[in-house]
Amino acid sequence: MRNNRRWFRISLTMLVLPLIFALAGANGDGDHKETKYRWDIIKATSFTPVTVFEGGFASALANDGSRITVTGNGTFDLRESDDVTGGGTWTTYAPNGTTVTGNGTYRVQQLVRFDVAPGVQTAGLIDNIPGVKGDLTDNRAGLLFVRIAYSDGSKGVLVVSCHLNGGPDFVARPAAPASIFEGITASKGYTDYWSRVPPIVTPVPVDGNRTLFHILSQDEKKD
Amino acid sequence: MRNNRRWFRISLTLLALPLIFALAGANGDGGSKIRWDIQHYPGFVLQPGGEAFADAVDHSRIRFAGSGTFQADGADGNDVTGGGTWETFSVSGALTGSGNYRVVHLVSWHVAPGTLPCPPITDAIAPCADARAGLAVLQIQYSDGSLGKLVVSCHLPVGSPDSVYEGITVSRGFVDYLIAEDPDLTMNGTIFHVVRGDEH
Repeated sequence: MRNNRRWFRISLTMLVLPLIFALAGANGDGDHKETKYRWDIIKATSFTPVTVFEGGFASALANDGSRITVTGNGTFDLRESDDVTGGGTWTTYAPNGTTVTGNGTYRVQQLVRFDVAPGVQTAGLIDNIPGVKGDLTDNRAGLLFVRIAYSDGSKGVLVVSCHLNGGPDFVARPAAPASIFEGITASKGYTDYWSRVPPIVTPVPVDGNRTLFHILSQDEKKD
Repeated sequence: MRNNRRWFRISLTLLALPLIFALAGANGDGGSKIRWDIQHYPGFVLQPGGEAFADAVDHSRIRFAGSGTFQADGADGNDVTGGGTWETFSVSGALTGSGNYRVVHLVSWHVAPGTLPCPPITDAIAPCADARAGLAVLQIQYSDGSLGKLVVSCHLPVGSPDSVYEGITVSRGFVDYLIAEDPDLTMNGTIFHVVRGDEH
């Protein structure tokens, strides 16, 4: 009988332990930032005012002028490199610019690195990215590296860089540093499409080669 | 008797299998390490200690020197060595920062076609036959605490596709020095070598 009670207590402890650890884990992460971001290759449907949606495209060139064009979006968490979602489509072109040499989809496998940058979004922009605030306070500039897997079995690294233009009052709403590029670069196997295609701004802005980051959650905890 | 022969054949196969796998492994670069170098080749003698530059979109520049190793099969991205020195320059050319960096992780490695013609080149880093073209993406830590990535791309003179460039690109914090300057213009460049097991 005494033996039975002892085993009952041990079993109960074993059952409760995971719950205790789960609760401790949920509350006891110490002092840190829990930040989830969304990245987008955006589509601008208007420039007066600038109106952006998800579903745009961006391109980069390799050394011989061959090109990769990608679409896509996704999310990542700064605390956990495997906590990623997203992907998009890819098309590669020969140096002549028109012959398609491959296409398919890609998915994000892992966050390599993200650095948020200074800079504020231009006032008046209409932000139609799904699941964000829409008031521009969650827009961020920055530089993102993610590992990606292409649908043809090849692998690479996608670089997404976002330069926020600030203004029109540049004291209240400063732009990101001029050293930050707007657009993407990507590697696919041993080919690095390192030369981003810049967005066309003048004389008339044209859709394409634009990116955007949003903070989805930011929670500073102190135990 | 027939049973004995069958067991003999099975035993022989089992004994031979490790030898077959070992030989197969020796023919590829899979189990080896790769050494990368920012090299220079004065007088066509390829040697360590070169320099490479990359530019940001505002034409500020970064200068890199260095070398290191990583696993060819990428099985353990943390099994890396190496690093070097860095200098940053403003748009006007003024020195804005300098220090050391070290490689902390291999993100990806892809070997590319291509060979080094020896002669006319003399390879003073490793056997010429072990030279490789390719693309390596490495995570690095700068001596001032900032982090970034170093991309080393090597185009060998014979057989490398035109899409493979020669040079480096580098990120430092949120700045991507994404425009590789052609190092060949100053007899500098990049190179990978397979480091065989007995050279570790």
